[in-house]
Amino acid sequence: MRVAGHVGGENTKGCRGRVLVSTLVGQGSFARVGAIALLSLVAACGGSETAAPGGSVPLGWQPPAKGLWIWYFGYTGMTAAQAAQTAKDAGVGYVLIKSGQDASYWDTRYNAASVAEFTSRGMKVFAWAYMTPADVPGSVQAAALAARVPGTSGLVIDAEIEFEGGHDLEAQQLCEGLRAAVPGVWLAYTSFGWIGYHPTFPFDAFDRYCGDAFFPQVYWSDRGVTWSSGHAEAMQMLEAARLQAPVWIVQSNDDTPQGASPATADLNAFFDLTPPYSSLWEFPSSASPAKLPQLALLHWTN
Amino acid sequence: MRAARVLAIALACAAVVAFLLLRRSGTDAGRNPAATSEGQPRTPTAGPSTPAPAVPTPRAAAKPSAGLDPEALASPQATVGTELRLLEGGEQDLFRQTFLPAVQPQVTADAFAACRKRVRQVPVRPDWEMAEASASGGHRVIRVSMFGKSMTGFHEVDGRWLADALWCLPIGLP
Repeated sequence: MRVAGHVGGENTKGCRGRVLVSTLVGQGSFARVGAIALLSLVAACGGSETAAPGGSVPLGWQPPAKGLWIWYFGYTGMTAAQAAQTAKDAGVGYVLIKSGQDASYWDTRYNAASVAEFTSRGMKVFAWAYMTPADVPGSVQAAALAARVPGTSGLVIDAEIEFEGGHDLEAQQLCEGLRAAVPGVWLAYTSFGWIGYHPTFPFDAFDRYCGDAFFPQVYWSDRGVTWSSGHAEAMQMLEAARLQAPVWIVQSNDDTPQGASPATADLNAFFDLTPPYSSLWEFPSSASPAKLPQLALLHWTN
Repeated sequence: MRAARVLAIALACAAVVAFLLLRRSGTDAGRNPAATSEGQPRTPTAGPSTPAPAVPTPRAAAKPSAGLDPEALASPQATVGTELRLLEGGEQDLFRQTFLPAVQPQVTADAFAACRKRVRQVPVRPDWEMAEASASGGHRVIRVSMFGKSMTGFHEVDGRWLADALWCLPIGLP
């Protein structure tokens, strides 16, 4: 059961086709004007304050650009302020900052001050928490604390391998618990990108109860495939699964299994092809300094 | 006659003492994570949640002198550092010894190769600041996220911190 206060209510079925539309834009030879028109349609489906099937965007928020995931500031070698300035200079539109793990809420990392470093620079902020089925009530309490941090636009549940194997009920309880604990919360989830390879993951439950958006992790460089084949397979699997949540696709700047960094052109091609709210995992580590200047070269807007 | 009997008893006692000393010395020198059966009496409460180190793998038990220096596993951080060093050096057998016995069979040649690739793909930066301490089966356990997602537990077994999962394998990728 969803809690009232959830933004939106208009069901725009046309949005279900936006993945395919965006694919055509990127791979075909549409004239620029046509592409812009189609992307505008995409934006209208996923970016307005009216509801898309299964969810909506936060009240009063249309991301100015694509997003960037942050695990924690320590590994970046930067303070929150420095990371925020770097993200702003690169053109990032929103960030997703890890707020905790299961029943642990990390108030020393995800707090009003760190969030404000980004919001004060014009970016939006999501909290994301890695969750397993181990302690659903505790996880609800912890994530709810993060969702209530001033400046937070929404909450993204990261659910992965621990939810495989028949944890539909826990997924439902987690999502419903969060909606009950934080009425009106914009609640999304992220998980595996190629969903067809994970038949026992409760995608349907998350889609139904946490489906304000789905952030599939289409980490083509980690897998060692081309951006285009990785994207195409992910889209085919999403269509086949008939999930309803708006898709906010994620790519990674991790190296390939061969140890090569993904090329800026490939990352941009993926970004160009995906709707305006796609994002990048992750803010580069200080151990990978060469990836930092690449941020400013990416196409954060479609 | 009596002197000979006393001498025989003395020699027998000396032999027993020598045997015990040698046995202890050999255990310390050859200590390795897989061959922990001698540590079992000190952990009689080991429960099902902690893979029991009761049955050392034949490979590990057969190579006690090739075991890791206890210092290499003296803390969870040391264990991770050792694992990275062994991955880099291609030391599969020693790498296997950094895991709980129940996990060691998973360290196959394929898994080892996949791990070597993975740690070159992604910087390994365990989030020690947010690591969680607990206990399992009478062991201290430190659980830490290695890549921001799943947690890996490091279990203290006889002073050595052994990983309970092959954390370096990529997760979720086909």
